[in-house]
Parts: sequence; structure tokens; C-alpha cells
Amino acid sequence: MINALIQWMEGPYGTTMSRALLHFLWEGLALAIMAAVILRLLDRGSPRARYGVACVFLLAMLAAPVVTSLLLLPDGALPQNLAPVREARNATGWMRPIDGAESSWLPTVMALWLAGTLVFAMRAAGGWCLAVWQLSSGRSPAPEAVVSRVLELSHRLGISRRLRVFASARAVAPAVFGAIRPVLVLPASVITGLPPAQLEAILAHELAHVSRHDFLVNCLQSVVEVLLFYHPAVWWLSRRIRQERELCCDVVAVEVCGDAMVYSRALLQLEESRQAFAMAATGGSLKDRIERLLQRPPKKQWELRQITAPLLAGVLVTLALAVVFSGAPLLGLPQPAPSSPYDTWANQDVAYIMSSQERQAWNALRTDEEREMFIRQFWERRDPTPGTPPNEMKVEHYRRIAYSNDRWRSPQSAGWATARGYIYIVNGPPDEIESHPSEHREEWLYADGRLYRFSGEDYDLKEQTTLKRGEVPIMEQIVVERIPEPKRSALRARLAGFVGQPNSNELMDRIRAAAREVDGTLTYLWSLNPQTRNASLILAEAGAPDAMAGPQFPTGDDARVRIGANVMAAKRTFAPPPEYPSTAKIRGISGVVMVMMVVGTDGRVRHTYATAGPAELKPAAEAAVRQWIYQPTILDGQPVEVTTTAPVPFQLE
Amino acid sequence: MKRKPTAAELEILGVLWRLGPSTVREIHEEMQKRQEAGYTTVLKLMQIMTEKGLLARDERERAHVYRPVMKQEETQRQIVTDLMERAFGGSAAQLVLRALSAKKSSKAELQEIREMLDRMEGGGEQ
Repeated sequence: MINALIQWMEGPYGTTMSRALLHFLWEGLALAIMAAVILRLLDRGSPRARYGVACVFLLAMLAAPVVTSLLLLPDGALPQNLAPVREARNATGWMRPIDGAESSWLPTVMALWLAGTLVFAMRAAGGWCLAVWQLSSGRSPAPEAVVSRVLELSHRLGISRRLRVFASARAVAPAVFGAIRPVLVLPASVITGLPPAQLEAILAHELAHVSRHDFLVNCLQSVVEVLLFYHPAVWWLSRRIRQERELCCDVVAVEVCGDAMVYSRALLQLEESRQAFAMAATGGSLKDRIERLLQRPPKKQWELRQITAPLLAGVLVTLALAVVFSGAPLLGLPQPAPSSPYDTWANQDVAYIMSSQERQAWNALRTDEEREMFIRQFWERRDPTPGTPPNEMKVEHYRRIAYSNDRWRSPQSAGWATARGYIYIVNGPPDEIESHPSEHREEWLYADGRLYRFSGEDYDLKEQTTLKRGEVPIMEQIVVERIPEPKRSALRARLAGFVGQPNSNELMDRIRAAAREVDGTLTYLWSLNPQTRNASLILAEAGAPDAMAGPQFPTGDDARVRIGANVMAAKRTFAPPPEYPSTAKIRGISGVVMVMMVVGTDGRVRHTYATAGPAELKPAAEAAVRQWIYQPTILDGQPVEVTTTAPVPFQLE
Repeated sequence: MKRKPTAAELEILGVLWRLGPSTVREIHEEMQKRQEAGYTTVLKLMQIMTEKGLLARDERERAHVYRPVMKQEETQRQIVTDLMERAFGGSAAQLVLRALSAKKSSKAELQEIREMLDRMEGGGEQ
């Protein structure tokens, strides 16, 4: 059962309630300030007005966390059918909402609140038992005269319930207890010691409590005090209600006995006789009370300007607290609307790649149909091959998300939300990664010279630089070791002159042209040294599998031929889908295979090498890619060869 | 209302309830078994307790014989009641509707109130 409780506490309802309880910290303060000001303004008025106002505010305090909970309850927290937004869910559904560290706080808050409620509930229960015992012990039925007086007054005040009247040796002051069959207990000293007129006034006060159903209101106060035990404003307001209640009954007592003096004397007498005894006090001072009875104006008078200053201060403090609390992720007050799968798509799936215009347009959408249409057009706009079914950009985007989630997931956040995830999703795989795990450092280098440095516990992005114009790297070396003799020596001789030159597109062209003189079928890869940012060129024979994969390249990444080349694959004009190998299909293997390839000047694919993806699908992916036809890449008017990588998706229906 | 015995006084009462009426020497010997207690300390304590009314003294012999005034059950009940009142007294006071729930007024305040009432009565209604 404890487990069930813990699960509920960590679930959406439990955490919402915890948030509401925390929000009450400033809500309660705001209500208390408002109540205080209004009560001050009503200071000269009747106690009944103030009592009513105070009770209303206490009810508002009780309602506040409930209302807050209802407002905070996210729609997305409840399990629901996500069928319409298949795109956003993306087949594997690993775009989980960020829970992060803040959620672990909330169940603790709830646990503390439950513990506190339990403690205060036990205190109230104990108090109830003690009160009953105190009023029951040592009592005997009151004398006839008193009982008949009580009956008379009951009729006058319109009380229909039968009151039981007792005299008690233990009681220190007259008391009333109970709602259904109320009990009136009088100290023996009061019965004998007070002159009849004063006794009647006191009885009237007590009976006023009964006629006004004060006992029930008092019990409700106790309930609020137990539930919202942690807020001093609740205790203050509750105490205030009790004080005003006494004043209300004083008014009735004076009405009944007709003379404020008589009643005041009675109170004074009561106070004097109880001087010897300690008694818990719930009210204000007797002096103030009697002064009010005799209609002397209360000493403190507040003018308007004395109120506005503290009121303004109170409002500002409350607003500040409200802003702080709603800003903190801990409390998670949702902004425009509760989250839905569409919000997940917009705020997580494509958050990094949506332009600000698109975002504005998205925020203006109202219906789910509009959103579906938007999502469709969003991806269509980015499809490099609009004519063909597979949307390579979308596949690549989600591949990057999957990769990020896989590599850089941590207890604090999902992989896509980390710094490296962000850079990876936006820019694609870097060309070079230099990793120092023991020092929590990593450097990423892209072909166009952008350098990202990550460091720290969470590998935050600490630095982002780009190659400066004056720092153009040089072509440090041209590696021909992979090429067998005699071509090797010939190439070495032919290309030696290029080594040490400042690297540039033109240089790459010239090197390629020179290499083609020796052998027109060679392929080449290049890498960038992260420290010196100098380039190295590696030549390899066509078709040699290990030629395509060099140690400098991390798995599954693109090799760029040119500095500043377009990140996306060249325009494909013919790309038949791969044949799904039956063995893989039966075993339910699906996924995306990254295939590195060289696209010739005629647009046909020359060499293929599958670098990442399920091994069972690699041959089929390569076979498919070899049939693809691209639009040749034109540079300076000439078609050029490009090395590129493309994802080949395999999806099971 | 009798005063509640302190912890040390309770110890002595405990011994007395066990042994019955005894002299100071007998009490002291018994207490030595548990912890170091000076004879004069015990004597002083028991004299104070007699003044408080917790013990009664029989002075017929040269060595005075002390006996507890209250029975053990009574004292225990009183301690429990005291604890209950301390724990739940505040809560009980809030649940009961009293004619007089105000803070205890000081003597000075009472005097002021009395004078105020006398003045209003004497000077005629206003």
C-alpha cells in the first residue's frame, strides 16, 4: 500500500497537488493581506460584518489550492490516444517530456504535507478528547433556576435544540460544546457568585454561540487549520475569526440584557475569578473587548494614506513571489496552454529547426486539423526530394535525435536536450570529434571551420569559434599509403608540391585534377586537425572498403569534399527504395542505414560504403544506393564529384 | 491544586512508594544504589517536599519518618493529565466556545477596567 501511495505521489495528480500546495504560499499571503486591509477598513463597523468577511477569506484560502490544482493539471499527463499525431510520435516515441531533477522534489513536498496533516489531525483529535473529558469530569446537573433561565433565553434567541446545562467544579469559565446536542457547562462559582442580571448576560453570550451555529464554523476552521497547517496566514485568519466571533456574541448579550455595563461587569468578574488558573487563550485582550462594548472608539485609527503604503508593499511582495514561483521550473506553471502531442512536436521534436516565422504561424493555429496541415507542409518544405516518398531530411532529423538520445542521455535530461545534442541535431555529425572523458572535455570540428568546445560535468557548450580568415589551414599532408605501387610513388611525386599550401577549394580542385592524371578512379577523404586546423587528404583506390573508413572519422558521419559544402545530400533524381531483406523483415529488424558514397560527375553513384545501421540491412542499403542517380553538383560551371552520406531507412509496416 | 513533582522529587517519591514510610537515612541508602547522592542533598529535598505538601513528616521519633501524601496512582494520573493538557490543551481551547477566551489580563489592566467601568457608571451613561 505504501508503494501505491508513492506511485500516486509521483504521478501527475500527486505532483500537481504538490505544486498547488507550494503556490498557496504566495496565494495565502495575498489573501491574508487583502483580508487584513478590509478588516481594518471595517474596524468601526459591526463585528458581524468583519466576522463574515474573515470567514469568506478563510473559505477562499481553503479553495485556493483546489482551484490551483485544477488549473495546473496538464492534459498531457493523462494517458491518451496519440493516433492523430503519428508524425510527432515518430514510431519509436522516445521524445519523452523533460522531467528532470525538479520532479523528484515534488513527491517529497507531498510526503511532508501528508506527515504534517497527520500530526495536526492527531493534535485536533487529542484536543477534542481532552475537551470532552474536561467538560464531563466533575459535573452535575445545574440548578432548576438556571435551567429555566436557559430555556427562556433559548426561546428568545430562537434556538430549537435541547440544551443540556451542567454545573462543574473543574470548569474555569462558562463553555459551550457540541452542535447536535449542545452542552453548556458553568463553573459553580459563576452560578453562585454572579448577580442574576450578570449571569443572564453571560448565559445570553453562550446561547448566542449556539444560535449562530458557531460550533460548526469552529470545527470547519479546525479542518482548514489541519489541511493548511504550514501557512501562518491561515492561523492568523482563524484566530481573527474567533476574536470577531466573541465580539458578535457580546453584541447579542448586550441586546438581551439591555445594558452594556452589566455585561462588562460580568466579564470583569469572570476574569478576576479565573486569575488563579492558567487557561489557553484564543482571543484578544479583555480591555479592548470591554472598550468596544462600551462603544469607546478603538485607540488605533487608520487614515487612508496609512493604509495605502502597506497595501502597496503587500501587493508588490505578493506579485514578486508569484512571479518567482511561476518562473521556477519547480512549480511548472504552464504558459499558454497545457501540453498536447502537438506541443510536444513543436517544442521538442522540431524546436531546434523551426524558424521564428514558422513558430509565429504555429502559435496562431487554433484547430488540430490546421496543425496537422502545418506539420505536413513543414516537412514537405524540407524534403530534398519532393517527388519521392521518403523525406530524407525528416529521417535524418529524427536519426539525429535518436542518436543524441542514445549517446548523451543523463538523469538530468534527455539526450536531445543536452548541449551536444543541440549542436548535433542542428548541424549534423561533426567531421572531427576529440574526446577527453577523464577531463570532461570534448571538441567538435566541422568542415567549414566551426569549432565547438564542450566541457564540464554536463558537457555544456563553452566555446564556439569559427576559423578566422587569417588562419586558413594548410594542406598538411597527402596520404597515399593505401594505394598500391606503382601508382603510389607516381602520386607522391605528382602531389608533393601541394603539401604545405594554404588549403582552399581551389587547392582541392587542383589536387584532384592532378591525382586524376595519374589515376582517374581514385577516391579521397580529408580530415582536419583540431589543434592546428590543418587538413590532410587521404587517397584510396576505388571500391576498397577500408578506404572509405579512416580512423579520423567517427562512425556514421559525412565526409566533406569541400569546405563550406551544403550539409544536405545532393539533389537526387532517381532513388528507388531498398529491397527489404526477407530475413531481416521476419526478425523485425528495421532502422536507418547510413551509406557513404561517391557521386560522380555524371550523377551516378560510384562507390558505396555502409557506415552505420543494422548489419543485416547494410548490404541491401548499399545495393539500393548504387542505383541512385543524382543531379551532378556544379561548381564554377563544372560538374564535380562529391562524397556524401545518405540515410537509407527501412521501415516495417 | 497540588504542585506537580519535579524529576528529582519523583525519584524520592518512587522510593517511598516502594519502601513505605522511611527515614532520610533509609531513603539515602536506597538512592546510593542507583547514583551518587549526598545525604544533605536528599535531606534538603525532602524538607522542601514536605513544605510543598508532597510529603508528610512524623516527628515523634528522633529520626523523622516521612511518608508520601498522595498515592502512586494519583500522582501518575496527575502526570498523565498534565502531559495531555500540555500536548492538546491548545487544541482543546480552540474547539470549545468559551465566554472568556481572552489573554490573561494583568493586575494593572484589571484595575484600569474597573476604573473605567466605575467612571462610566458614576458619570452617567454616555
